[in-house]
Order: sequence, then structure tokens, then C-alpha cells
Amino acid sequence: MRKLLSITDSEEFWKVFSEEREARRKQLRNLPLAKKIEIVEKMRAAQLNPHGRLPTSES
Amino acid sequence: MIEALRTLNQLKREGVIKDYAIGGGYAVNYYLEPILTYGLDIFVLMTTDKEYSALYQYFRSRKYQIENVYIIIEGMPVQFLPSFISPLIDGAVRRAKRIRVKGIPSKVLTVEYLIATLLTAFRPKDKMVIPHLLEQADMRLLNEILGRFGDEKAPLDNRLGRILESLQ
Repeated sequence: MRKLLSITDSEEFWKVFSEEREARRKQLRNLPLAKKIEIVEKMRAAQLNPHGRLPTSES
Repeated sequence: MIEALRTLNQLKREGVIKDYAIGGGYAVNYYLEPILTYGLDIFVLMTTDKEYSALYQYFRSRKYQIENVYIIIEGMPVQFLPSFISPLIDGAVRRAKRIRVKGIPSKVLTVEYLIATLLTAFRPKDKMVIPHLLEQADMRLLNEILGRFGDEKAPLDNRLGRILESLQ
């Protein structure tokens, strides 16, 4: 992210952006299903929340 | 989700269903990065619609909430797709991959069968994930499945060809 912010060349920016996104996807892809389910359940809870926020431990 | 899997295993032990496998969005989540998924699609081995009615009766008698096609199991909307409606579903469940989720035994469609079911549905969201799933698929096996289960109404190999063309 820090690297991205320091790039001024547009072509270079999108190249690094794509590389970082792919790396993140790969990292998420390799998570165990139970962890992925937790992430999906947080997404579902956020969608059901009218304020669009993730529920906190108090909610 | 975990509680829903426990209930499904209970259904199997009680003989209400013969076998099942996770399909749809949660199966996609097994192979790819997590994406938002509304419900759990469960492919079940069933030979008659009587068995399908008995499944709904099982939940009705236990006061489970039923919304449209979904049975709400421990907060998770679950849709059951019986194998008698399609030989593809039958093959997909029989060849599903055994997994464990937090220690709970379950099964998930193999990536090749998952792609075949997504090519059958062929909605925009299915078309988006298929290219990513293809990276993990055995193409020889996939082509064999598509050839076996495709027909004029759902020409699966033709649909895959269109997706591959769009990637070039």
C-alpha cells in the first residue's frame, strides 16, 4: 500500500496494484474453509446491518 | 454454517438423505477467495420426489422456518437440489471431495463438477468465477464431464468455449 502511494507513473501504479491484488487473492484463497466462512458471515452481517458497518463485539 | 453442516450430517445418519455435497457459492468459496454468498446450496442424493417431500416434512415437523425454497437451518438459508432432477447433480454428489470444516466431516463438489454446475446455471455471477476456477481444474476431466452432461438446452462445452474466447 505504501509502495502504491509513492508511485506517480500511472502505468507503474496499475502494474503494482494488480500484483498486490493478485497476491492478496492468493493469500485469501489459501485460507482454510472455516476461516473463509467467518469472513463471509461478517460480510453477510454487514449487509444486513442498515448502517453498512461490521458488527462489533458489543452488537 | 457449521451448525447447518451438523444438521445435514444428522439427516444422513437418520436416513432422511443418502448423501450430500456442498455446491454453489460456498463451494466456490472453498476453492477461491471468500465472496458474499446468501445461502447454502446442498446437492442431495435422492431418487424420488417423495424423498424430497419427506425432507421438507422433516423440517416442517421440527418447526424450522421455511422461506420460499430455503429452509433456515441455524440461521443459514439452505436450498436442497435433489439428484433426481439432473444426472449431473447425481454424478457431482457421488464424486464429491471429502472435507472437514472445524472438525465436522462434509463433502464439497470437485472443482470440475462445480464448474459444470455453474455452466448449467450460467448467470453473470457464475461466468465471473469460472475463469478463476479453471486455474485449478483438470481440463481433460472437465471436458469429459461437460460432454457427458451437456445437451441442446444447456450446451456446456459450448458455454465453456464462449468463456474461454472472452478471456483472449
